[in-house]
Amino acid sequence: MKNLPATLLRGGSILGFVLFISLPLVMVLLEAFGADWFGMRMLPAKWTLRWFMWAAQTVDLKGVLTNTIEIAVLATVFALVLSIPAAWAIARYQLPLKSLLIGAILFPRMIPEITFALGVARIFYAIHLTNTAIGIAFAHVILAAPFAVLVLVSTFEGMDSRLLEAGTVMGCGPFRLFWLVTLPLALPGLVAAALFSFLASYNDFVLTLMVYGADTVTLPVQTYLSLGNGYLSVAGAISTILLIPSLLFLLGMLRMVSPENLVGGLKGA
Amino acid sequence: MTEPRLRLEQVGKDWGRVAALADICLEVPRGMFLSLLGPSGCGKTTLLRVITGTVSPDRGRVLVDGDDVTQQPTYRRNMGMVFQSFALFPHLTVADNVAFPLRVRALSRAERQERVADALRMVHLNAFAERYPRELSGGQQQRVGLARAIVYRPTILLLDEPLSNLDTSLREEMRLEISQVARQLGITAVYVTHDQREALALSDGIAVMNHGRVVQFGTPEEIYRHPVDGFVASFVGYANAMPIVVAEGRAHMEADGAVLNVNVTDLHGPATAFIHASAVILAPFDAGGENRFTCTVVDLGFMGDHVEYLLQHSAGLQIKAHAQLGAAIYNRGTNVSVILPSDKLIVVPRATI
Repeated sequence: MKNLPATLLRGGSILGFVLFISLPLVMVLLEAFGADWFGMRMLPAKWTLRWFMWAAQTVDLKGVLTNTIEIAVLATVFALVLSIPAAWAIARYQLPLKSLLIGAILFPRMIPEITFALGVARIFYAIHLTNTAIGIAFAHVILAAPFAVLVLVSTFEGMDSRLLEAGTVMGCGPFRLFWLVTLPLALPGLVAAALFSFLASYNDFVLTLMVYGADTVTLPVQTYLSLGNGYLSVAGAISTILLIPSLLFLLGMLRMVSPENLVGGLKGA
Repeated sequence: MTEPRLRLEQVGKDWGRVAALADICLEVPRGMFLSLLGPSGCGKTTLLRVITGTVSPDRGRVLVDGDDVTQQPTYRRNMGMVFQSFALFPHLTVADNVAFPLRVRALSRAERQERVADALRMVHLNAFAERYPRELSGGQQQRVGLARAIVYRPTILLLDEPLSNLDTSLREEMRLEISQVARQLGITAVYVTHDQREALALSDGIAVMNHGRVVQFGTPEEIYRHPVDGFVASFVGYANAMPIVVAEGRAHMEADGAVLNVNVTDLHGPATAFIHASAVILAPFDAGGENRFTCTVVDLGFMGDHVEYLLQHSAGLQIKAHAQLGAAIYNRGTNVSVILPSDKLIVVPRATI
């Protein structure tokens, strides 16, 4: 080691950052799998799966999970249907006030979610969309679409128009050009946009809380409800279940597309 | 009389108020290798895109084998194109890239495989069929581009500066490859370039373009030996341009009034005499002969097979000369005689502005 203090500082700051991010997560996991954890103990005294069994007994876990996934899938579809044409227009055409347009699309992510949620709730009560999967999915589009549009704009912008020209010269009409050239080139971006949209909906709590009902309890809401009932460890168990798809997606995503591609789109090769 | 493979009739295209193409008329017979030669922005690439149909002309007609295809969409025209940027599909292997146009034409799998193998063999890439474009060098990628453009036997092969993105060392090799493939297939080709050496070496015919017009159309030899104006002359490599004035059948150097012995029949008024650097002869200071000027060696560079000189004439004119290896070498500051052989000089009228 040439410069030990610098190496220690660098290693220490990375470790600190990882701990800072993951400590709350570790606490939840300890809560979910531990028993007799009181006072000043660093770790639980015993390990158990009791809280998961309790969760299964006190809560309709299967129903809640089905609700969550159903809403997330709907929200993903809506978000893609909405953001693909928008992103294509922004990326491929000269539009007036382009930056303003992108700003407007990102706006929902910049203001407090609760503010938006209040407005959404007001509308949903008026037109009876509360406690419906479609309604909640629509609400989630507000959260999912900005991510999807961002990813897709950079995907479409990075698409080499000469490849489309090459396809046309080689005999592709508009429809075949889309299937054989445009779609395969855009696929990594589309997958990333879909995953982001899915997770935005799957993880959402604030918006859902304002418009959910007895038939549309989602995992984040259920976690909150269990906590409200005083079962800290049951809440921990449910949020651990909540965590699984996110982690799976993250792993899959990192394998499929490199982080640079997620941010920078698919440039060239 | 057989129809030419490609005929352009008074094709015009405007970008805003600027005429990108003005009144282009060209006939390309079957099997001809035609080059569109010109500086960037001269309209040569726009003309290529008018032929493929990705740019539709504002005026005029495009005829292929006598049929008017001006209104036909690009994908029905059966053109083949090689791109400067290669434009290979990154998600497909070499074989799948070459098979792409065959898949679009719904050929059977067996025939596809056979034709792809043939095309890849033609460009010496059969060993690379299963690689992806990103795993190939630039030269190899462009050979895939060439194979992909000819595999479906297009009516016309269009090449848009295919060598510009390659290393200098690869260009000659690739140029020969293109020439061989085109000749072997007897295909009609239109080749866009700004490099006069490529155009001269490859083509049966050259159309020199400037400001959206075809300035001269002819064989490489015609273009090289008899450029119609100063633009063509300097573009095909005449390094020395000397302003002269023609009066009563005699040419005088504008710089100092010295007589230049050169054929100037039919000419009158301001003109420019051009000569290639390699045609300029250097002789010892006191040598005699026609069109002899005394110059000082300003700079010289040893280029391996020849020596490049930059010479300064007392009247302010600079002359470039290439002397073959083996000739005497003159150092900086020496006075030498520069001889401009009258049969190597060409004179074109100079527009007075």
